[in-house]
Amino acid sequence: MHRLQNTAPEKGLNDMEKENHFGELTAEEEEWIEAYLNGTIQPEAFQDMQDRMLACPAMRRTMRRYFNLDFHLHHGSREFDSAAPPWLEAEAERTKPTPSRSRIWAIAAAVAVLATGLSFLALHQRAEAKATITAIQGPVQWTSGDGQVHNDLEIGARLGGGVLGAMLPNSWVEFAFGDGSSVTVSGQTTLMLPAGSQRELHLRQGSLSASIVSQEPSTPMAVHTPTSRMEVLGTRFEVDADPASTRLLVNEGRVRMTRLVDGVTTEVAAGHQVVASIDYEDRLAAVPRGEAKRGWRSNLSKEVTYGQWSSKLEALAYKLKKAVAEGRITASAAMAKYKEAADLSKNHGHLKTRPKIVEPGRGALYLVILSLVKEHNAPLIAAPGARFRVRGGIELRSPVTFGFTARHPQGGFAGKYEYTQNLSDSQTGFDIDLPLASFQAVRNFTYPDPLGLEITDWWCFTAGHDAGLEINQVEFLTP
Amino acid sequence: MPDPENQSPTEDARYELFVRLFARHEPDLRRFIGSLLPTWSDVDEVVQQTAIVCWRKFDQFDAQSQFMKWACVIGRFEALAYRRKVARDRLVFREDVLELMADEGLEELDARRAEEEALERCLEEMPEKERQFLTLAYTPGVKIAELSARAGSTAAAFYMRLKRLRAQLMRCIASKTLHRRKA
Repeated sequence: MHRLQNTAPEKGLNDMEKENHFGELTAEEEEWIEAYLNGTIQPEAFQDMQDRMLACPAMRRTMRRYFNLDFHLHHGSREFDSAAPPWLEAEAERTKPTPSRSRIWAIAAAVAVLATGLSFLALHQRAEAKATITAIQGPVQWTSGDGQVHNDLEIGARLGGGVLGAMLPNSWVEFAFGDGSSVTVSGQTTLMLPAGSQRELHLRQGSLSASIVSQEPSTPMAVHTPTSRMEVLGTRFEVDADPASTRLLVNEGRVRMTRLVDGVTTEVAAGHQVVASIDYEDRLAAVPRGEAKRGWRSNLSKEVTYGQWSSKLEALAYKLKKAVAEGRITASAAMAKYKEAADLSKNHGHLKTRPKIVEPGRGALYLVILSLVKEHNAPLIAAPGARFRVRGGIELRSPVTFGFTARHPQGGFAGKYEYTQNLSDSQTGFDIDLPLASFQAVRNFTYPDPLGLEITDWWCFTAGHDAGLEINQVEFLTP
Repeated sequence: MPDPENQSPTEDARYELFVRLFARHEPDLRRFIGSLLPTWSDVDEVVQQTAIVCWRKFDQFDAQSQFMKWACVIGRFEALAYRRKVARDRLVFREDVLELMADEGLEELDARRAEEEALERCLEEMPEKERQFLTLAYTPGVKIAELSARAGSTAAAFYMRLKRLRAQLMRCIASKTLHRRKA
């Protein structure tokens, strides 16, 4: 039954090959070994396998070879922290008398460092990877530490030090660290991973969801944004950042946040959120999340994260200047009209698309993005029968894609959903209803149905040319 | 156990010798224990415990004998002790199987070392995509079922691919270790 033989130098390659893989084992034995290596073997089969191993030296030898392969592949995939191992420094101090118990721990630490470092260096010397991509969607760009730009990231790609950019509102990328922690960046986000450290993330702008396994208290994971620093010891949380403010929502555990402008620190517990802005007159205090809501009306000037906001007053001033320049109205008449309109609220206006080049030579997308979490404490729930009502204008008939990002009520990125509709140019603009049911999940990586999820942003874009798309108001309405 | 309050230059010299020996033989010890236990975390734990026991018993070590053999004997006992500790809730080998594996594994240390060197070269020769797949499959925290669902595939298809790649690597390792022996 077991035809594997002892390896011997004088044997031919074919014989050697047969000895080193499953070619000479029975189908049942093959299945046992694979299932055991995959961790899926059933207890009964495991007992049978051991009985067979006990009786068959060749099977034991094959198992040892596979164990060795499996073990080194595991080690090669583990994280390598290139920071100077503390035990080496301890060794430099070796001439000093040291208590034996400390030495025992130094030995244990040395073994741990050797284990990770040597195995990793042996198998992945060139990669210096700190994270592995586990999901990806839409245009995502990776600029590695040597300045090379990669637009072709795939699942399984290894990330060392560099800058990760999700390029469009419907892009996202999830990556896992060697310790099992995972991070998702979503929408227009720029995240820098410093070379040589797996415990530092620099979110320059955009959104990040993280699930971090327990860290050593002395070496917490740190997330930096333009306005804050967060220290994490093992928790799940979300961060939204722009140059002027950072919003932190903690779903599980605790996160310590420091506001950079004044150094004030606060601890944020699960179910709470805090905003650290450049305007430090506000108290840095975590507040509980509000009750979930089922409706929303946009506040374009405050919620815009991409797009060109113009208030009605600014738009009027532009028109009047143009009319004066063309001689259609006198300057004093123009001033009178402007003063007459000056009581208009600054919040009234419209949002024009801004172009965004995603790939060289492939034109631009004209887009608008609104954040639904920037100004709101309470989550917006995608409920049955809900719809978006969108009012705006367009100068050229064009297909317009509308979309939103959703996350789980318990925290964590859930998916992105889109719907495309042709919009016609007209003097009076458009006023359309977009039922939630018509939005489709972007690819199959995410939840197919957004019902019950929390909506965190909203966007629309046209492709290829500037269609003159502008948005006057967006509402989310639930019956 | 040396008295912490009574350290001497000789004690420091012993400690230095131990660290040097252990650092030199640690990869072999790890290979040996790696052939007895199924997961890297199990191996890590047993190697660490072995290191501690080796240091505690280092005054019994005969400088004329082979450190590696001596450490492997300790490692073997530590693996058995570990097995007893986790056997109730884990799929670890029975004691009789583990003992056989350890005894035979001790005689195969050179072969394991050669296989690891060959593995490094085999991985380098592997197409990038296949290597990335393997890396991902072995990344801690990554669940094959979730991964396959996300890729629109099935777990069975993922495991099938994994099986094919392992077999491919084993063939490559066999070929390289054979050529090396012939050379």
